[in-house]
Amino acid sequence: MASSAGERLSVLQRHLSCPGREGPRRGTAGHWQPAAASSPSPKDTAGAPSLPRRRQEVLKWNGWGYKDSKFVVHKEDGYHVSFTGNRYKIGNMVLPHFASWVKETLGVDFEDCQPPQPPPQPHQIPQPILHPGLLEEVRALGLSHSLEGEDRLFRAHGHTLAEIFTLREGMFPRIPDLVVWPDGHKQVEKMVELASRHQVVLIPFGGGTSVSGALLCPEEEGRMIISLDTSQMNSILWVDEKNLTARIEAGIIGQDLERQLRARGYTSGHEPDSYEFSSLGGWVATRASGMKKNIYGNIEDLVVQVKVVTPRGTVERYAAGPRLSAGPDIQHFIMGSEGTFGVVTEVTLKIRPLPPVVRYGSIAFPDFSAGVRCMREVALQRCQPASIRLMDNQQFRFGHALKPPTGLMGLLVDGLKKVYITRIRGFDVNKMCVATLLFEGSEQEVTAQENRLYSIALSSGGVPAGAANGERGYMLTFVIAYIRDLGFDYGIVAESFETSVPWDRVYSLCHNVKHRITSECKERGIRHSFVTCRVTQTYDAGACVYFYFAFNYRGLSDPVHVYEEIEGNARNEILACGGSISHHHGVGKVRRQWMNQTVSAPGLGALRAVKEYFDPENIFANGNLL
Amino acid sequence: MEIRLISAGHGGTEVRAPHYLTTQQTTSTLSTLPKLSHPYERVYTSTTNYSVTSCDLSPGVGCTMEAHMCLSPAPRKVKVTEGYVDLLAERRDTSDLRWAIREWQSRGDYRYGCNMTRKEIFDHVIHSDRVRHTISKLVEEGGDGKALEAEVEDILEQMGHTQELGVIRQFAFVLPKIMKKIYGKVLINEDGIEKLRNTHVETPVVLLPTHRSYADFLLVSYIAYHYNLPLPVIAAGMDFMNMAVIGDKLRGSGAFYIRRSFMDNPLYWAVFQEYVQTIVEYTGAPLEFFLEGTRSRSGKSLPPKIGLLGCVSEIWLRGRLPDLAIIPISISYDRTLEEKLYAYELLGIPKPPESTSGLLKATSILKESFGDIFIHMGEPVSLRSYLGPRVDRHLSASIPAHLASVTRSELCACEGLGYHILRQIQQGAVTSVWSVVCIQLARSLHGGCWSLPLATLVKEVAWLIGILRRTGAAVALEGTVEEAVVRSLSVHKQLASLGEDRVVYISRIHQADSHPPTTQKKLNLSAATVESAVTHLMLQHYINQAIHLLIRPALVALALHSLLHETNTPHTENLKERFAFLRSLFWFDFIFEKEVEGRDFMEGLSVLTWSGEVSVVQEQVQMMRSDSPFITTLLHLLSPFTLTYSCTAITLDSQVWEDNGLLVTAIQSQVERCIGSSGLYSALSLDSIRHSIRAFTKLGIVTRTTSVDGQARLTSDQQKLASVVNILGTKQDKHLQARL
Repeated sequence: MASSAGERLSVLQRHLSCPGREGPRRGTAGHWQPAAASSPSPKDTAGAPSLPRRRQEVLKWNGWGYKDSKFVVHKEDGYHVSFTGNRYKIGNMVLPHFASWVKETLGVDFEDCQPPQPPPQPHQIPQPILHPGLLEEVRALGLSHSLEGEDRLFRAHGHTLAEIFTLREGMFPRIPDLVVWPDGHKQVEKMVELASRHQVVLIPFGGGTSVSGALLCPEEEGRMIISLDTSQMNSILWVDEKNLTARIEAGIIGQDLERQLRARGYTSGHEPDSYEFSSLGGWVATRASGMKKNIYGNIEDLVVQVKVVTPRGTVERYAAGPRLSAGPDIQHFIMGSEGTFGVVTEVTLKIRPLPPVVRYGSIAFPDFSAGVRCMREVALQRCQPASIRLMDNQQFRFGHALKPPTGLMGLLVDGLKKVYITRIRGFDVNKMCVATLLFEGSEQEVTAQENRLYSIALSSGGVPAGAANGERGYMLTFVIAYIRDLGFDYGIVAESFETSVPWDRVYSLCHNVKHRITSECKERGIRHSFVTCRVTQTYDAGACVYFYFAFNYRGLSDPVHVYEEIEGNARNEILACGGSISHHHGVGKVRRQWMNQTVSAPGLGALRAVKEYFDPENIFANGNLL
Repeated sequence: MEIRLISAGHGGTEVRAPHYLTTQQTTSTLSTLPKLSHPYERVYTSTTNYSVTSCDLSPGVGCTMEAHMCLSPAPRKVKVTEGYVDLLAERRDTSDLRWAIREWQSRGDYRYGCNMTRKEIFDHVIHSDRVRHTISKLVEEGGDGKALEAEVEDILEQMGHTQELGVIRQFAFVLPKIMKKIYGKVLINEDGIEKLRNTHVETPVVLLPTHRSYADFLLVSYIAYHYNLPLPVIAAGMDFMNMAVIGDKLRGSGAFYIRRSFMDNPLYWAVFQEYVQTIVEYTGAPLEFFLEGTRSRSGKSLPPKIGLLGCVSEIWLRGRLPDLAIIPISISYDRTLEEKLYAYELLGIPKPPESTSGLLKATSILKESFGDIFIHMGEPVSLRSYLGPRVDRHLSASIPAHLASVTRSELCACEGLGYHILRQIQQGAVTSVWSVVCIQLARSLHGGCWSLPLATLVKEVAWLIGILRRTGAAVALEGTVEEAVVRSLSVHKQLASLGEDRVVYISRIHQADSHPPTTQKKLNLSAATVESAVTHLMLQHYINQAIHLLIRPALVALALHSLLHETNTPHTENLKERFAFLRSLFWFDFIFEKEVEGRDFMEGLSVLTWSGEVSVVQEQVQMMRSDSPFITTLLHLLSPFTLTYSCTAITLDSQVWEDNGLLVTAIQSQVERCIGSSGLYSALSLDSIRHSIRAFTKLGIVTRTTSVDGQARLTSDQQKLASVVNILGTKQDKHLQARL
């Protein structure tokens, strides 16, 4: 790590001399990092938020991510898929292998395209339930707010399959009646007090990337529902360079936080896959986990202090010391509370100096079990790099399908690589899998890490497979979220879910869950399905496993229901195989049914009692978790 | 019903007797038959397809129906999947040697399985958490680590199978030679084979065949060789191991040996579990064992033994595999090799220990004919689908797998699975005409007649077959009923033969001095009883093979019969209650599934109402006529069992019994005294006697208490005993009345 003052100075120097986000990077790595389209120099834009208050101007109203970035299909002697926009590395490129992969794996018929419904007309959006007195007081307070249908609809959902399907084909029965944008902690306090006094419901809204149904308004809620959008509380209040902490308002989104810290030579190191859009408050409220947790830790390791406004008052732990022995940690009540206790307004977060060296890598394994053995060994020796992920064979081949076209040299190199792996090493293309690696640190540190890791890999039957494969793997993480919107057009529904599991059960859990999903699909007459998993995080006692699942729903009357049934059974299988209810997505509404099995009835009762104390009148009535 | 020759390309001409077909004709039809993916398709398609009737809903009952059916237009193209094909047909025409040495490669191997040598499997077991943990526990208790490790190796050496294709080939050479000599046809449903193959690619399979004869033992392996299926690994009892040559050959063909009882030996238990689970989980070889644990002497299904089934289920229960497929296999013999031995065993004359010399002595059977074998490979049962809703796996999911032993409720679910599989096996079984013949012969015997005219027999058999088919049974009927009866009589001519005068004569099998040569202990029964009883029990063996088809209506009939003493038109609820009691009373003798009492009742009642002998009007059940041939037949079918259970009740009533063999003998003597003129000699069966004691205990009619001196005693509830006797309808019997 660049911990000495001299090194840090050089970091700053480098950062100032080379413009853009490439600054601290070097080596073969390009800028895999997605960012706002036009960011000429960090100095100019570092402070300005990437997303406007009316997010629908930049973001899709009915799908994932930026409006200008999406997969599209062209027809010219056959079908081709390409990705638009220049925000990502595969932007504006035709992906020559993708169309045939989709056809083969998911049985897609490109002739059969069903575009989504147009944005709803004002009359199609549910009329707001308004509390007369309250609106006046909001106005009097000078709180920024909106009653517009578009604004309300945008905050009525997260990004589960069911929610996006509803946006494309129907309408939510209940959406927020009013959106307010407090500008800081004080205004949140006023808003919560107002809501308590008028008996209206508050649903905190951060980045809106929830995949647990957490943002859905409970249908039976008769009171007025206010969406409390934290996006205008987005500044870094201070940076403490002596203790390497920063006080940050909770509404800031990941990419803005990183950009602003980076401008000062720091990073938070917290990088969940959704970090372009998700917010700090959301991370705290869902117990988020970042890709590079091996170096920086998960959100519970990063948070030093948290400030939360509950109907009972503002909860705070008045000590910034590194550890406390003062009963159960009150901040752990807040982390993972999913907006049921109150609104997170400010967070003190650990920060780290930017690493001088960032390098990618990858390892090919003959099969998934060899890969899992290697991951276990790496965890045992505690020599994880910033990130290590193991993709199964299906995902490995899926990654290949998304390869952009290569020049003659590229073809040659690829060909040679393939010959080496399959002919000389004897790997079976239908069994092999790949681990992607991300190293951060000083040159010596990274080199030492690489050596150690590759020697473990070799002893478990793996072969180093180059940086390009690794880099593409991480880039795809961001892009993969866009694929679902394309799939919808052609009768494919897709979703991801995750779990954590002890080491000895990692392999069987992956195998069993994939088998369970495939047979559940067969039982329902689904002819084309795709299920794949990757081990995305390693810990001392286990790992996090992430599943993607897609199927072709042509011929099914209610794909969302079918999907939910299958995912429910997959979750039952996960629990039966020793997996958990969730590693970082949270519980929300879609996984509530398994809470009892997870924390026992008295445990759940205790959580209910805490809720009862913080929020006796159920102002934060989003119905999550409990 | 009749055997049809399917000549698909020739307009569906139907030839009743396939033997008349010339070779030329056969080959000419070959080219037009549906193409099979199998390289040996000729084997199947050139032979006749046997359609075994099941669920035929034609209204006619009786002999005339056969003629009627022949006139019905034959389907132009009958799917191969509906047929049974003869495994031996090609063996009769071509060289057995060439067959045994043909190039052999299995198709349908478990996709995720790995080939493991005997040594690798042993190492896997030795280094498994479970075995290491057990050893360290035993060392803590003062055991010697080195000695224990050596013991593990000894156990494995004794247990472990080797599977050599060479040995399989030797069997593939010898078995057809023997089978061709003693059997007519060996018929199997090929669709079942293909289902098995397809299933096995994704999940390991467990093959659970019925166990009626030693002949079962290698039959499944032979089928696997025949169809290029992955070869099964077979769990065998220790008794085979000690047979010279054969013991090793069986091992070489994939048998592993387990001791009969080892629950009190934790090390053996650990090694055994780990061995079985390694085979299933890692090698993915099909595991074959007998759910009933032992050959059923009585011909009925025995209650499932859940040791091995639980051990296999544990793999899924602990989340080590996504699913397991269980294949119920029903093997039905026209004539059981051990028919005579069984009858003696059931009377209490012990079986000789297995030995190769014994086997050689038995070669005399090669001169006899044993009819056909029907093998039905059942629909795969998914372990997950059955157990999934019945267990909570997540409760033990966070305990290391080798420490989380199967819980009581999980075992209970496994037991339910066992009964479910046995039901599947029963439903897949093809019923031989001979079983129906035996039902009628036994009736004649009970009336004291050792002979009856063929015409009467045929008429009664045809009538009963009509009913059986109506209940959904598959009866293997070739040609007309008369032809079938005559054919089965010729197979079983030792037991019942057809005289020149068209009269069927039942033989007294037991000759006072011929058998048993090896009895050491004094027989419990008088010589005169044995003389009749052997014949009765042999007939009963075949009756029992069909009894599962009629047990539900029979128990409803019995329930109704007993209620009619109390009221003229009993309410269905009362009938159901009485049925439920009988069902649990006979639980171990006849196989019922857990949880489906209501369905069983409805099934039984609907057969009775369909027969027209019973009607249900506004929940009131009525007998429609005084002479009810069907109900009489059903009650008759149960009469040996009701006698046994009544006698058990009477014997238990007479004194407090110690829980040892004496009680069983006493009950048998009681039965002998009670038989009197009824002719119900099959009530002497030790099998039913033991089941009755078990059932009385389970129902709490008898309670087992252990006294201070450590002796288990059985005390019984006299009132409950009296009510059992009352319900079983033997109250009128004066022998019994005198006692109670």
